[in-house]
Amino acid sequence: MAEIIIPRGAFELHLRDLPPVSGANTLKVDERLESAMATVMSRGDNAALAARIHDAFGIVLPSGPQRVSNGVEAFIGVGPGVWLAVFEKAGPQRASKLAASLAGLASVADQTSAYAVLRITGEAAREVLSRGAFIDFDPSVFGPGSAAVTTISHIGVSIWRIDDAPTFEVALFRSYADSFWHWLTTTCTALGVGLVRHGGSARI
Amino acid sequence: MNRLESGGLIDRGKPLNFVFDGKKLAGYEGDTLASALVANGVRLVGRSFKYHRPRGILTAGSEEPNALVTLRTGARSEPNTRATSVQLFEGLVAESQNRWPTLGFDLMSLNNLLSPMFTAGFYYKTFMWPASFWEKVYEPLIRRAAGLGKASTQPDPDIYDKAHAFCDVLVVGSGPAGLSAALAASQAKARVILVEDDWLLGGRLLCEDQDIDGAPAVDWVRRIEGILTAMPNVSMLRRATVFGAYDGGTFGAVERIADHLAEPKPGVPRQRLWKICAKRTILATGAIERPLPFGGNDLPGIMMAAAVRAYATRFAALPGNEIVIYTTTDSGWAAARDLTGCGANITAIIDARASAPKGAARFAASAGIRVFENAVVVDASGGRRLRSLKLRSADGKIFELTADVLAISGGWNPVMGIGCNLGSRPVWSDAIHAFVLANPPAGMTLAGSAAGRFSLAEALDDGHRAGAAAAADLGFSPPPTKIPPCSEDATGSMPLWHVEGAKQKVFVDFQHDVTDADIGLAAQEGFRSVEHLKRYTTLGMATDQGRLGQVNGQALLARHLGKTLAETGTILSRPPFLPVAIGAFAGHHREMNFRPERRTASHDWAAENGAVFVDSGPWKRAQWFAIPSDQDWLDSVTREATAVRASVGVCDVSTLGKIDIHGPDAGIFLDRLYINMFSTLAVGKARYGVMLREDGFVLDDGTTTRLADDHYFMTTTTANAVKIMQHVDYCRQVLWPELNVQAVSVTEQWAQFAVAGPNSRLLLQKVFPDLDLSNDAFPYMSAIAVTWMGVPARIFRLSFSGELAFEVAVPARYGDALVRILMREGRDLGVVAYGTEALGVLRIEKGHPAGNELSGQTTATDLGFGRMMSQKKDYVGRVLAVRPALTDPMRPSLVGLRPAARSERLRGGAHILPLSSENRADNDLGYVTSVAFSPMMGSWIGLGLVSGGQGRIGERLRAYDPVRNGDVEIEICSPVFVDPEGVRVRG
Amino acid sequence: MRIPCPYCGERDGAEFTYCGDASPVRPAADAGEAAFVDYVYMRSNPAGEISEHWYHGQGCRNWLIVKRNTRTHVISAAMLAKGSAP
Ligand SMILES: [Zn+2]
Repeated sequence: MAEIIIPRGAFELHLRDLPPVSGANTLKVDERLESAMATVMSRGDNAALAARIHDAFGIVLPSGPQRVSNGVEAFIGVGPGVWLAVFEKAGPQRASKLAASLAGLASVADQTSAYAVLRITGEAAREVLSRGAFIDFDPSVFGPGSAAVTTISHIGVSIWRIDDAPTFEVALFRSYADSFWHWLTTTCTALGVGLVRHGGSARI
Repeated sequence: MNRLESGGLIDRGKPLNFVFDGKKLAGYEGDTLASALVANGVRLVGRSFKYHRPRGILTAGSEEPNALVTLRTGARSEPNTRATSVQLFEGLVAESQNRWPTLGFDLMSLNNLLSPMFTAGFYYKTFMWPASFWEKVYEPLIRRAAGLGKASTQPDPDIYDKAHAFCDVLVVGSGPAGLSAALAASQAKARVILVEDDWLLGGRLLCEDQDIDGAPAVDWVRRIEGILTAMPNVSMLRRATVFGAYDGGTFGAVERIADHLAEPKPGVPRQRLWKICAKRTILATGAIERPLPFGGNDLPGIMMAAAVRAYATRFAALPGNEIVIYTTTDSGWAAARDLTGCGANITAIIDARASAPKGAARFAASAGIRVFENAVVVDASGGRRLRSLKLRSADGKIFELTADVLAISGGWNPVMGIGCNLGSRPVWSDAIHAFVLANPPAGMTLAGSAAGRFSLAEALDDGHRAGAAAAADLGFSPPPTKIPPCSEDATGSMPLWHVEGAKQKVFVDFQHDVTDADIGLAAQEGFRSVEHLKRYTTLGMATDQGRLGQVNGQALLARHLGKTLAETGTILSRPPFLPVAIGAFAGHHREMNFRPERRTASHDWAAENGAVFVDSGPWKRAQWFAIPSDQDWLDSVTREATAVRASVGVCDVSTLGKIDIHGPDAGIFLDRLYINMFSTLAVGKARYGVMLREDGFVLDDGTTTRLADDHYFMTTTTANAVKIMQHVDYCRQVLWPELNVQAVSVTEQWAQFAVAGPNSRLLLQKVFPDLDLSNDAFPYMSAIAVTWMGVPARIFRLSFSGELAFEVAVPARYGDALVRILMREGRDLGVVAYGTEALGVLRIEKGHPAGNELSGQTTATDLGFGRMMSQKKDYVGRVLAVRPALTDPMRPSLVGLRPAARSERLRGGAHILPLSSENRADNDLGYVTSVAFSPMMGSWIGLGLVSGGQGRIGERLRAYDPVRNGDVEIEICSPVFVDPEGVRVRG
Repeated sequence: MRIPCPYCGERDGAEFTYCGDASPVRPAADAGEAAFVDYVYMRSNPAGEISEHWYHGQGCRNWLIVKRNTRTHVISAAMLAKGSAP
């Protein structure tokens, strides 16, 4: 069979219908399909694990709910001794390579397909997210690099803030994508915020 | 018209038309429905709850007990809406309530004549016997007679929204204290949320003619509002009510986004429910004026003095032309002064105190007002409106005055309901004759009138200090600020709870028609506690929650008991402070979106192929796939099950819980979780396992595969996936933290499909041409990780159907692609897609227990897994599983069931009884857990839990189903109906 | 209510699952039936401070020991159950 299988985004059909141009009071959204993700669970020696990760990626592994990125790879603290590793523009075998490089120090589970990750950028992002999550998104509390595992509209989510735009990413189990989209669109409508597709190349 | 030519916070350039009880009326922007009714001279606005007495507008705030209307019509109609809180909008339609047939002529007012029947505790006394009368006679009668407004029977057309907020300081109320608190806290750089019930900030300052900083108070309000609006650390919620305080500084609030519009703009919610988390809270919720006791004190035209003042000053509407003021407070005199300033005609002021406040005489003389000191009103009279009143001076002389409005002021009750929600108990203060919250919950301060400091100067000062202190407490540095000077207002008052010699009913709770006499009767009948008094007389149990009359009633009880209010105390209020629409609590979780749903990777493909979906917890699963030639669902299911046994079928099994278990101790860990051994499992092999709860009953089952020395892949039932993840975390974090084990759910990572049937190997071979899937290379219970078109994939040789079968897993992003390829490649094999029903048929034919059998009341032995229970190790549930009651051979255990006559249908849930026995519980031998029509057997078959199960093989019993009139003779058989030797699965 | 998760920070109570008294300790494998009956079924019901298990299932997925006063609902401490004695 000389065929190619195409990965399917959890938000694909919804995003397709969005206008591509941004205007006043809009929120740019995009699904992160080109990245690979894995749960990294320390086997006990966090210091050795941190050292290995620092050697490999130049990343200081966060000990709390933070996201540390080197521009290509990022580690997000989601629990004590547990991180979500996110690799930009990585293939489907990235998690097993990571597992091999962390062998003995961490257990690694591929979650590339498990999470649908929405990138949300815009002035209104904070207000939209706070409609759903009972998390304090005030810049003084939840600045770039902050992360939280919580719920939005009864759906488990991991949220991290990337930059000052502000840009957030929301990771949720992909089976919930349609319900999450319903929450997102009704909330934006209620706030008078328009959703548009993230144009141009994705930033990291 | 009772509208003043000038003044007030209404916009005379923006007239608004509205309809009350079918009559077209007009008001202005800035009016409430109540103020517009006052301006239109409408007196009668409702009938009381029990006696159907005529009632008029009593207050100007949310404590209103009388002016409850049904607002709007049709699906948006909302009963029991306080006219005093409704902002007038163009086209508003309101109807009065609790009258039949009309407000003016109400047949139910006969109750007034029957009033001896409606005394305290009348529900308990009158409708006691016989019990059968309750449902058919008493209740409909009471509902007809006593019902307030009717809710719409149509679905709510509006949408509701939810939101969360965090702040350092939450300020509730925007009167002088609230504004001053918000200003102080925000200038210290604290994050402040200010919540105001009204659409305008200002509270009492909107309704009183006061000066702050040498200018009208309203100007000060606007100035502070401007400052607060410009501050990035301040958020303001107007038209919002904080309705409850919860543990840990959490508050519930409802924001009425569109209640002041005829209908919300498309997509815009009507109301928004806020959860606010505050480090400090300042309650600046003001105070509510107390009514005074006298006969007929509920006649339309009798109003709270502060309300008359508010209607005149804020709304430029005078409720009458001949106003008498009856007061025991200095604020009653202040009201008189403001009213006179508006040009109102006040004919007399009656002060029950020995002497009127300083300066009163001069003011009264200059305004030409008669003053009665040391005098009480005894009775008011008139038909449907006040016409005259009788008062008695200290020397017993009776005077009669005519009046169309009697403005009453009996003291002030601080509003502190939110402060009591967490159990803080108000205490009586003899200094201010009111209950105050001396010990508010941690982090909460009361300020201004809410704290019993009633003067304007105190409010400004109090608010400022509370705001600055809250900020300082959190480490902020409040800058030095000057508190602005303001008008002086005296706050003297005298409590007055009872009047002797009233000829008519003296009302205490206006909405529930509780009278002075009812309280007396309750006391006489032995009620001693204010909480019991409340339940017995229904004092304070109406929609106004007794904000107006509660304290008066409690004072009467104390008086009857010969105690003080300090001794009897008051009740604790619970949330909600004001009624909140159920829709606001639901938010957008209604109808299709009642709860979030989960869709598998093959969902769209399934929908394209005729799938009918069934809810399996939050998951949507294909139940069967209907094709045009199927007559009904049973046709579809039978076709699917038959095709699996004959050739090959594909079923999405992704919803099973999947947990990755890693670590050097993973094997030992699983040994302790399961009744059977997993540490001995070879890499690349799978094993079926059963888990118990610590009490010895079965928790869950599933297949776990060893993918590497230190890596197992566990599956759970769909229903228990979340529970087992929690259990796994409990076992590794709490029970055995010393084991080096990591676990994480990977349910969503893998889309997994069962490929089952004698041709399943042929099909898989086409999709994975490079793999050797022969029996030798890949025997039953094997597993392998492969790369399929560049992506990781796993193939398991597992079977739930009893056929030669595999399960194929790929990352969920590729699940859609995989199922389409499987179906395409299987076309010439006659592949079918099968759903959960056919899956059920196949597993029942094989006697595999599933959800109905894993009921939480079955043991491993009950289900035929007794021999799997290892003797070589400890595991959860091991000890208690062998208690005598759990090993009793007569416990119900799993058997197969088939109808004695092949054509009979079995029904799940039917009870199993001996053939010739009475239908009695003590003859019950068990019940039918699962049934299916078996294409292989050509009849209905079932599984059941039957006492002494295996020992009854071959026995004839009956399945008795009284719910559906079923009584079927059955034969007990082995639960394995198809291929008991297990040849097919190893084929 | 708010629970101060040692990892996630203070969170709304709805993110947690209440799992009861944290003080019973699973008996040794050979402790016998009576010890297990005690462990599984018997609970004290104190009016005052109690150590409870709460599972942060909608957060960091950790089992916590939360010290809570049953009279006042005041939570005085919360720690990871792993490595803490109740
Ligand atoms: Zn946590």
